[in-house]
Amino acid sequence: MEALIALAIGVLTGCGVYLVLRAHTFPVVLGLTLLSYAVNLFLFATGRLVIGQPPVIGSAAAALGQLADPLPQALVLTAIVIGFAMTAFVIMLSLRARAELGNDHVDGRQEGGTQS
Amino acid sequence: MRFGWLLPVAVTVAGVFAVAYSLRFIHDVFFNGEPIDLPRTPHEPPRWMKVPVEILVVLCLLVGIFPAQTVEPLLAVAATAVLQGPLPEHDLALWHGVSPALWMSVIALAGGVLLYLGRRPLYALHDRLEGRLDARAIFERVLENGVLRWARRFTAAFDTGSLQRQAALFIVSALVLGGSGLLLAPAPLTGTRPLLPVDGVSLMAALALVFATLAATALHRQRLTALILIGAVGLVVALVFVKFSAPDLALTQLSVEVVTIVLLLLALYFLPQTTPAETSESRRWRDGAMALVAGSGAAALAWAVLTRPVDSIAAWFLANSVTGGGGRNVVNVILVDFRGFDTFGEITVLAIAALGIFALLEHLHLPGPTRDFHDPLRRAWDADLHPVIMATFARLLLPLALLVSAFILLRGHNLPGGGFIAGLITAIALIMQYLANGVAWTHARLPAQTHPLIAGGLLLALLTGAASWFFGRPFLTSAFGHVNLPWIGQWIGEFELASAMAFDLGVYCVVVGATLLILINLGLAHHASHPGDAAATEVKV
Repeated sequence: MEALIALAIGVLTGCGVYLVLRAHTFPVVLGLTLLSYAVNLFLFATGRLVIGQPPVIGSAAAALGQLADPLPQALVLTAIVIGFAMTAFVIMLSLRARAELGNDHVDGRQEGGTQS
Repeated sequence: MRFGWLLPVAVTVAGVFAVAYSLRFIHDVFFNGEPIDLPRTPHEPPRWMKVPVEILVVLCLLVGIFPAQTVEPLLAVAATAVLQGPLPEHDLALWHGVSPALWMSVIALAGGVLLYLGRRPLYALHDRLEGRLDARAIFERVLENGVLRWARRFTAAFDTGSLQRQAALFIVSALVLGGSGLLLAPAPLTGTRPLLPVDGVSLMAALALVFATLAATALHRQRLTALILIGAVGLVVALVFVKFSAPDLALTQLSVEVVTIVLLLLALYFLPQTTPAETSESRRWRDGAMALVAGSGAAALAWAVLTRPVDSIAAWFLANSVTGGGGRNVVNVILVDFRGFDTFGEITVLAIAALGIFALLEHLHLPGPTRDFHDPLRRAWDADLHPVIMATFARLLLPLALLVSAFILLRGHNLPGGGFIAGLITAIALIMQYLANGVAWTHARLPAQTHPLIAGGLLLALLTGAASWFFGRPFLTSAFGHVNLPWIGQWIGEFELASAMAFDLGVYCVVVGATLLILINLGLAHHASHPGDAAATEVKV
């Protein structure tokens, strides 16, 4: 199971990095979204993988043994929400850039010098 | 401590010069006869111009002569806050007896007096050297030729104004640093923690995630397809949280996924629908290689972390959640109680991001696709902008969705839920009205006071935190107790009330306000650029 999570984190990171390096704003935003999934999963994974033991005291599962680590979960929970705010801010920035510059290239100019 | 003498010597030498120039001030101003070589003769200032100076002088004398009685308590508080522990033995006084410090002062005073007495030869030396040895010129030459020129060269080499280049440099540096750490470390990659067995469903989910991610990357030039695939990735991530005992995270991920996709769809409306191919194939190969290295590195790191046993501080939180925070959902207790200050910072960031977006969208005129726009397959827009079945169901669902979000908010302290998740559910329920019924229809019925909501939420969280000051506790100490209401109690029984719930309500308000502010204003940007569409909607509804 650990190998699957490591594989998922690796694929998300790799694809995120590739998309972040693209020349147009929308793929870059998608890449940032993938990277934030990867980071969230990684942070979550630092608490190690535990099945069926949510950190709720007094639940039926709690009597069985070691509960999942609540601290990475609390950190990731806010990270997910902040990640949404960041995505929203970046996409608005790209909309503003498109309105002001007339194109959606990350550097504000099309390659080859033609302004669309 | 071979150079332990250096600092006291430097301090004493500096003291010699300080005494010399102070003597020069005092002597020249008060005792050296009438001022010479001035354009106008200065006169005594009026009485009240001197009073502020005199207050400062009195304070200086008091602090200098009686430090223990004046500044010691203030310094103790500040020093305790910095050291986070008991203060070392200290004694603030004017007279400490004959000590090395006293001798340093004596040397500084005597040296300063001697220096001032010998000032005439020094002035003469200065006159002779003037123009040949100018400290300012040396300083400026060093700054201009050394620091600034190299800084300019460095900036020109690395900052070409291209984000692609910046991002590539950033990723390469991260890879070099991370890779050297991973390769040079003597530890084996795989740790000793026993592994969990793989089951079929998890394998399928993992394959779906990997496939959707790769497909989104391969098809990223078809933007809508890529966005749908990203949505699928987000849903599988939520499933991962469900599987590995994180119900709060799964709920958050699920609701954030919905608002993110709605947001990106709205944004996609104003952006080109496809991405033109990049000209340089070598760059694609270069980026692909970087992505491969980054992905393998992240996977190796995750594997190394996951297979090692963990020594976590979790036990403390699990043991103190009920007694210290009054809640059984430890994740929520950490958010609103143990690490409430972090959460307060985070909702502040959320509020600032929402306001920043509001500012970015102001007076924004976006050229969206027009009515006669056709996609590559020549499909026209649906004439029915707001299908009546969807609109009706969305209206019916609103009270139910709000009920669910209130339920999630209230149970959050003891069961999976809480302010963040409840806020997102409320926001989605309201956004659904905008989607199903149109911006104009909903805006007329729902006065979206998002700014006061965000401000009110922040204020509520702040005041809840500050309330603990009145009980002599640090900021954000939570209190809880069991309440049995006088008449109603016989029906609903005794229930628990924690001050953390008020804090969570603040979180809820900020999340609802920020999410709505972002999405509604982007929707209104469309309204502003297509007034015709909105009018059509009004007529239909």
